[in-house]
Amino acid sequence: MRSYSIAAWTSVGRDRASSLLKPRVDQIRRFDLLQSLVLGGAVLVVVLFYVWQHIQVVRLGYQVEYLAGERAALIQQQKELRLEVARLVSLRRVEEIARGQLGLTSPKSGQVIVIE
Amino acid sequence: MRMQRRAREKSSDKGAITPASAKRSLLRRRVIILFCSLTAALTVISGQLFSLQVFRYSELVRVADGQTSRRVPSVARRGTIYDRNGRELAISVATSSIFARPSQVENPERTSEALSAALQLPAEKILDRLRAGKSFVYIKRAASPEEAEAVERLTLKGIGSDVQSKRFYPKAQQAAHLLGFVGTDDRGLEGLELQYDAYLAGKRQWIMRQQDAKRRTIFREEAGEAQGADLHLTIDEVVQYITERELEAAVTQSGALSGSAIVMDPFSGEILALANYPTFDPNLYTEAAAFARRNRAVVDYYEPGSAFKAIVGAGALEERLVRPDDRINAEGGAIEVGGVTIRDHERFQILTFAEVLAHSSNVGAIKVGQRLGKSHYYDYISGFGFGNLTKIDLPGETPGLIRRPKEWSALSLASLSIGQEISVSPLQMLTAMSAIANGGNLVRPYVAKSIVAADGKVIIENAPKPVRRVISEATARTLATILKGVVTDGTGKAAAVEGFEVAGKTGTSQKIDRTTGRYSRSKVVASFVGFVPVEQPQLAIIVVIDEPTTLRWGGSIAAPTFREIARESLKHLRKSPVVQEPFRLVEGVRHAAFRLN
Repeated sequence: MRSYSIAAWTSVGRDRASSLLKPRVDQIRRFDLLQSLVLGGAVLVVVLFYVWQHIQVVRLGYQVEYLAGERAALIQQQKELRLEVARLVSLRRVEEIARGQLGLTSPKSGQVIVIE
Repeated sequence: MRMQRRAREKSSDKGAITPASAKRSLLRRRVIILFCSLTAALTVISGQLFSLQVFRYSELVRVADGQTSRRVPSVARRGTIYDRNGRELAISVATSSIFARPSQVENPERTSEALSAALQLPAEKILDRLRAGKSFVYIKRAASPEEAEAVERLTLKGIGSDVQSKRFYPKAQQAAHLLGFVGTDDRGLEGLELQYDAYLAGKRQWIMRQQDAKRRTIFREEAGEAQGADLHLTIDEVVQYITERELEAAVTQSGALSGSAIVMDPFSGEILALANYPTFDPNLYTEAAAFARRNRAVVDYYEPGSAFKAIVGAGALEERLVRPDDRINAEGGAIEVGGVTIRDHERFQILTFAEVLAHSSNVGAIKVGQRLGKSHYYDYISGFGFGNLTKIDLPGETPGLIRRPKEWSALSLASLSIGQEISVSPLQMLTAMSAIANGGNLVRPYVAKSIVAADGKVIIENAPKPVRRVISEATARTLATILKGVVTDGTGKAAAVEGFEVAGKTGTSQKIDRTTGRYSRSKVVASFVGFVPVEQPQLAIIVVIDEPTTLRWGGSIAAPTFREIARESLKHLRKSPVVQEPFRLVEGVRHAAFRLN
């Protein structure tokens, strides 16, 4: 073990070692490159997914907010219409129109038949 | 190559400095300096990052949140008030308020001009408000959404808008005293709005809103339950309208100071209508006088006068001290009690007990009261609920005024027998008459049928609540028959409704003259309280007219008003007349029908 390490530190030993290791190193480098590319690609995909997700959330946020606004406006409109209907069917107003404009009168007791 | 390297190594061994080695040494030094610099820079950056991420984390998160997030109030919408058939009586609609923080306004003149154009308000008025020296002022309340949007688009510094809920009463003055009104802060101030404020008012919450650089909202926190619960009343909008219309006509026709009327289901205690005149529009309550806003049917009391003879009669009948056909000497229409002579409106001689009530003989009623005695009479007065709250779900109810028997004078029993020396509210009087109508049970009157949350869950459901039995069913039936005689043969003929049997009692009581402290000769309270139909009572109605000037008797102004309310209400409630009249076509319609044939 010790002699081997001394040989590795001498120039002869280094050259020999490098010559012996060269094909294996190339293999390792090729493997590393492929692995790095795959890993880098995966990281990129994850990052891109993360960013896309974020953008999607923001985009949907705007969409949700827009729809919530539309919903609120419709509810408001419905309330206003109900208010208007309630005003228009006010009995005082209806009676004024019936008596004043249409000339209607209340039926006398003999003119009303209650159907039970 | 190897040889050259060895030679170089040899020469260096000898200590000779070659330009190449010097260059290498310089390069190494530079590399070391660069490395050290980079290390130092990285250390500083790491330190700074560490400081930012660890030591100043909370502070910086706060700053960031402050820039991107905003706490805004959610719109708390007040619940709707419906009548018993689901018709809206009070609705809340979101409105915008434009406000200013004058200290932040950069150019008040230009700002007021811009706002003037957007809000259709005089620029001078806006400028005055901006220069009022206040930290916060409203420029316009209840602005339309378009106006609020126009102001937002102006992006004026120190000017903002806030969405608030505003209360509207679509039927204007209809049921105004029942509904009450809300203040500018959307809190109930009177009536049912005050009574059920805790349920009706929505919970205003602060929610977090994330916004972008243009202050557009990206996300909004869910506001949760901001909508108040809906209130469903026992009131029938049509009966309420009829009651108000007829009461207004009666007060106007008699030139009275005011009037009150209540319609109630005598079995359940459900109030179908409650009206006072003069009245007011709750949409404009600030413009109404305090007198017009007063729910006199519940919060005010009056001396019931002869209408109270029904109570002394109930006690005497229940105690078997008198029978309907018992003959009572009316002493020619005058009796002296405690040194005071009390007179009848006619010189009656001998009357049956039924006639005493029908013709409203004071002398007869006093004699019946004397048979009943102080203690028993007081028990019946208390038993019918006088002197106590009816516990109606309306604010400010009066218990009335009644003294205990030990405080009574020699005249008190006689006075109480004819409805003096006691003050009752119209509601108390009607509740007592309802007990006679329903067979002797005192019931608690109520206005709110149910409270329903925004999610449809029923929070409160009011059901008829019998308070106690006051008189037996037999006594109640006998008394009802006697009170029917008041309408068929007595002082309340004007209360008769075609096709229905009506029972009731008139009342005309003198008011105390504040200047003399004695009963006034000119100021009276005219009333009629009764129920219809007698056999299966559907409606118990009271009409009280305060200080009528032309038609001054209960039988001449309150009884006809009772009749109109009862007739129209029974028609609306589709109650068939007991005596069905043959159907008649009016002339024009008959001719039209012939032409069609």
